[in-house]
Amino acid sequence: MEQRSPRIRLVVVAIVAVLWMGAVLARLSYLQLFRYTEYLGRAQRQQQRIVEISPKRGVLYDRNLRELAMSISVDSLFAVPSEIADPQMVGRLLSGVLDTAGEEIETKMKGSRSFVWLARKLPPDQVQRIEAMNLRGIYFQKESRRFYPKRELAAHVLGYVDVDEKGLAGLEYAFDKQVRPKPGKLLILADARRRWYDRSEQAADAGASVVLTLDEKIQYIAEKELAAAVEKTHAQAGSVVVQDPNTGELLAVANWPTFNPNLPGDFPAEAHMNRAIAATYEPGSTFKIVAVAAALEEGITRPDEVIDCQMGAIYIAGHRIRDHKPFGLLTVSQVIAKSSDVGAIKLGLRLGAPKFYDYIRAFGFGQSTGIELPGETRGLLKRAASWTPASVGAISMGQEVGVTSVQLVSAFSAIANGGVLYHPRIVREMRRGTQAIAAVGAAPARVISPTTAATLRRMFEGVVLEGTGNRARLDGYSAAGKTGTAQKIDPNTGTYSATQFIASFAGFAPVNTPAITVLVTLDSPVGGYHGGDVAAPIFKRVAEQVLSYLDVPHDVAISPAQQMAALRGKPQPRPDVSDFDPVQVETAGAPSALPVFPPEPAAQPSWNAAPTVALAEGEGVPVPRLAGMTVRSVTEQCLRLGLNPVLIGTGVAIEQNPEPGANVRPGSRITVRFARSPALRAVAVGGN
Amino acid sequence: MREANKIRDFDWTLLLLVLSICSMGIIEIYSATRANALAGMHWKQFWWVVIGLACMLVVSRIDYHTILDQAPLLYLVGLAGLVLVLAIGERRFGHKSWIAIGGYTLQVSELVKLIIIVVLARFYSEVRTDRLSLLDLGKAGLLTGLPVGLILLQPDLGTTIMIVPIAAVGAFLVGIQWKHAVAFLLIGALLLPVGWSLLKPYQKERIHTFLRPEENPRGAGYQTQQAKIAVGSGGFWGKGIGKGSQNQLGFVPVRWSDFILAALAEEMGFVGVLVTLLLYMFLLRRLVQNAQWAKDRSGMHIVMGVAAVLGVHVFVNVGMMIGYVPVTGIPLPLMSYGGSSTLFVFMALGLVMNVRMKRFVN
Repeated sequence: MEQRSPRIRLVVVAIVAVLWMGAVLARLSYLQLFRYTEYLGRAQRQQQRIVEISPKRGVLYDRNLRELAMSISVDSLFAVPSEIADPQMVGRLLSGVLDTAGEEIETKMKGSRSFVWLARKLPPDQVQRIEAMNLRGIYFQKESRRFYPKRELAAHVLGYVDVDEKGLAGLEYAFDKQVRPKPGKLLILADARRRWYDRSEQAADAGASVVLTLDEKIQYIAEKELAAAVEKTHAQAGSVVVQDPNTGELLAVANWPTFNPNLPGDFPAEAHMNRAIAATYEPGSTFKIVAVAAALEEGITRPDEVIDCQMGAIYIAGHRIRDHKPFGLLTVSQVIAKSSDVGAIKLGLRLGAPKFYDYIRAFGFGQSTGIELPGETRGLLKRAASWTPASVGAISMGQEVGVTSVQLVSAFSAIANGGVLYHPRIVREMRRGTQAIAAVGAAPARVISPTTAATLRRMFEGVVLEGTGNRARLDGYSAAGKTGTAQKIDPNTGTYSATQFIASFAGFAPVNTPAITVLVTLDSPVGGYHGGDVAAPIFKRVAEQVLSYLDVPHDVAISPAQQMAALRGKPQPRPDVSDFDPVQVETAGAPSALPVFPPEPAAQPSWNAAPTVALAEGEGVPVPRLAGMTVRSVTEQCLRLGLNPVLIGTGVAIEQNPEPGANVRPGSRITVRFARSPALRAVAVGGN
Repeated sequence: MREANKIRDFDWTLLLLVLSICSMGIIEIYSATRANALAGMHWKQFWWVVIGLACMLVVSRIDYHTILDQAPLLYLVGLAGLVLVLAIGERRFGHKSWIAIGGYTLQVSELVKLIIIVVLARFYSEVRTDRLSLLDLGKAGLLTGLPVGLILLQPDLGTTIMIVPIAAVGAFLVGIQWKHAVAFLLIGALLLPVGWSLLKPYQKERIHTFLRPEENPRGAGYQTQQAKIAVGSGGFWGKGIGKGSQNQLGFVPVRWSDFILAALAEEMGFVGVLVTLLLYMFLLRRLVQNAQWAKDRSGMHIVMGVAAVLGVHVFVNVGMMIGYVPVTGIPLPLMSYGGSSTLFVFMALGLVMNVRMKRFVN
């Protein structure tokens, strides 16, 4: 036994070693194989912080691809609390710039060790002031913010968004799902000392862009003329709608009162209302279009048929209805031209309620037009069965019905284009990447024959040439239309108001090949209230400018005064139309209380225009040459020098701004662009 | 006698195993340090290995009997070195273990390990019996105790823990009587409370943390926890060299040195650790074989001493990585970065080669 002792003892040692090895392997497989997922999760949890960032919404364009609503990059402020030695001091410093109490900022910073938002979407001046403080552990992250560069232009159509870029009104709301992109993610890697040192953005999937049927310049003309008219007539509200009668596409939808979608909260709720689709009103005489069109189409009258207008009074079901002027014998054309209620009523009575009702429906009244905007109202139209005996008469002259401007303009377009009702449309197409999807509206439907439509065009031209609408006569173009003057219903008494009217004019031009249909509505103008007096002149101003902008050839001789002006080389009365640029107008316009938003160039930051600092000579930090360095080493070097690196892309540094050698203030931004391409890397390194 | 020292008698198998382990170490040091200020450390380690190989060659050329003859002198030099360290040494990681020589620093206790191997080998071989008396055990204890005491003063508990097993394994193999072994274990157990009271607060905390790591994950349990997360998240195949996030983001403590195996486990996975452990097991087995083939008892004791030191290092370091053993600054021999420990291991292997090449010589 003594002899073999060392051998036995060696075996004992070997057994211990093997047992230990087994135990280690058991433990290893337990950790690495059975609990692998759990430990992987724990590793990721402590190393990564994922922050969702609000991505860029799709752009809203006008029909010529000019941006009406876009998303721009703005800075949001966040803190890495573990890097902040004295949160109380930092809180106090920041509260001097932000509108937040220092304690509140301090509390926020206690919420997390590695990441916490302090303020979202800051204006540039605050960003600069905070940057100048050069605080450790305080960083900026680019986020996107909705920006309406043309401010009020088409505000009601575009709508607006909330702070998280969720559409709340208008097309922003209606197309929120399409325009809103998939959220992007900001991934921050934290090292063991809880310092974030690398962040990578998971690029947001850009939302679809929407191309509207609106034309920025036509919209501008409509809004400008509407605003001028409201100022002149002191109307409470109004709208101007311009439509292409051959397609149903809306070229302009202007409303008053209006608002700035950049700051929707600063305006009262009624300013947000898109009256052209959401406001119902009794149209008055413009509605006579239906009775006359139906009577002609049905062959129960002719334009030259003479109707006895009974010197301005008619009794229906015991009610006496008076014309605005006593008329005797008038042809049907004259009934329209002079807007005789009695004549219109007689045509309506001849049609009979059921047929009349069908035509009203066929022209699109009393139902939704299917326009892509939210908040559309159907208007008011009682079913024929519930009409009173007086109803036919009332409706013939545009009472007892409620219409919207978009409905009415579409009905006039149907006359203009030869009898086909196109549903009004505001969206042309959606674009996602390079792919464009044309919007499909409801199929157009024929309401009246081309012959009837042609007859009606002549009749409505008469309104402008020799009737109530002579102030709508255009220079250089023939025009047709109808005036409307409707008493508003007093909400207190439920009866027609004697003082409040809705003045309107609906028309199209040129008469034979109409290019545009325009409807002007003014709610409660003060002083003159006849559609022919207050609305027709606006039609004239809008139509002349729009036709000229659209280069529609003249079909009528231009007035000698204008010809003289042209010969003398003097500026045309509307020289500003074709080269109008709303941005210039906006900045050149009257001073406004609204805060200044970044001008358009900020939206597409060019490389050289990246925010830099004034280069103070003498004092400051020399900018290092960063080309060829990694994201990490650039960050480290910049932080060491007290510079604020703005990192774009991943890989190695290929470009920087300011250039190496420049002297900058401590805390200045250095924008560094990175690329992964090995070729670029070789160039950058070789350049060293 | 000279002709016996032929190159073919070199233990090429052992050398191959050693260099494989060193290569894995250098790769992992590269991966663990490439992204920070320590980048380039793997080259330093490479040169340490080269210098180590040279030292090994030198040590293998000196007849180990000559070295054994000089054991008392070496012992005194070792003690003097330890005293010197306490007097003028440099303090790092809380211990005064380093002494500056030229531009480099030397961890004297590493060299002392080697000296103790030699001294104990000579002592045990001179006992010339299979049964160690209590007196002999006492002498061995004293021989070991003196330098151990000096190291404890540094205070480097880790190295102390590494030296005691050399004496114990030697005693066990030489022939400590079973009853004595049991008695020592009992006395050791009884003395534990006394030892506990002598520990520094941070040492107590480490042991406490080891026993209940979940209690304080941010504090002292942090290292153990992070090592465990690194190992666990590596999975079967690992995350790839240079891609272990625990490692690259610095969550694994001293990942180029004491916790290098945790970094390796994260990046090379279960497979990588298995390969590494197998390499070490083959290395130890090869050492034991060499011990059995030694031509005399002193040769066997030298080789067994080396095997014991390396074995205990590997066992403790691996145990530390997976949470079996409290965190004590023990490097993984041949893999962890470190000049002194690399040189020590190669010199120890030089002794092994030395013994091996003398085996056919009478």
